[in-house]
Amino acid sequence: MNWVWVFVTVIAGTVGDLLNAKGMVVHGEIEDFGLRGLKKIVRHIFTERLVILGMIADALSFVGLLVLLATTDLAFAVPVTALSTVLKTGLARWYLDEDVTWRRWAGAILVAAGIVLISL
Amino acid sequence: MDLKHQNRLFIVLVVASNTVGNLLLAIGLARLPDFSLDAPLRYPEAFLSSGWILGGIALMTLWMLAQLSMYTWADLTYVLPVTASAYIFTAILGRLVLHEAVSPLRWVGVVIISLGVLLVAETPLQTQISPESGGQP
Repeated sequence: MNWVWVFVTVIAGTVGDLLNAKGMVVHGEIEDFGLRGLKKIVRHIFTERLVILGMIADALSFVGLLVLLATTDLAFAVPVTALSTVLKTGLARWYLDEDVTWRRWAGAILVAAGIVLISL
Repeated sequence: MDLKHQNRLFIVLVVASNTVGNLLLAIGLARLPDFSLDAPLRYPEAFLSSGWILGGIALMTLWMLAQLSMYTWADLTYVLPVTASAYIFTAILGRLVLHEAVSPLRWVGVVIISLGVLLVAETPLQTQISPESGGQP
């Protein structure tokens, strides 16, 4: 049963961040940090379909993590979130057209490995 | 403000709001009474009236908005590793403020995350490949 929640946590977290990133790219680079610009970005976050779906997926992933924390050890639950860091890097090339160089891959793998060690 | 300084400012904002937000939530949750069926409203009342928890929620909301804002000028594969430095500061604050034990293995984890952050921080902010460029960024 725990593996179902591992699947939910990793997949929903990955889908959530990919959708959020795609939805925010549509807005374009924020240049106005005045009140008008901040209102515009908040309105974009709460009206852009991809970002709304992304936040729902992130919320689902968070629920999955809470279930894992409640039913398993921290040393099992936290490395699960590290898995999604690597998965997001792999899918960003395909879904977001990002140029994932060896530095980006190495960075993601080192961060994931570090998260695993911190949780032990 | 140019993009380089704006980006640095947002990295600090994302990492600080996440680290301090998590710390406030940890302190607030540890001070809550145990949930009891005899007084079921006591727990949610304590939750909603805790300054630690409300402060933590406010900072986690700021973290989410700041991280979403970064996606408008930086790649997901840049933002995620670079802002993972929050794990480093969480371990340090856990040691200093909550007096949690940090084992040598956890410090190795902190060093490895730092290396990952440094590697990615040296890459361009945005590398999205446009269809017109024939697959080149």
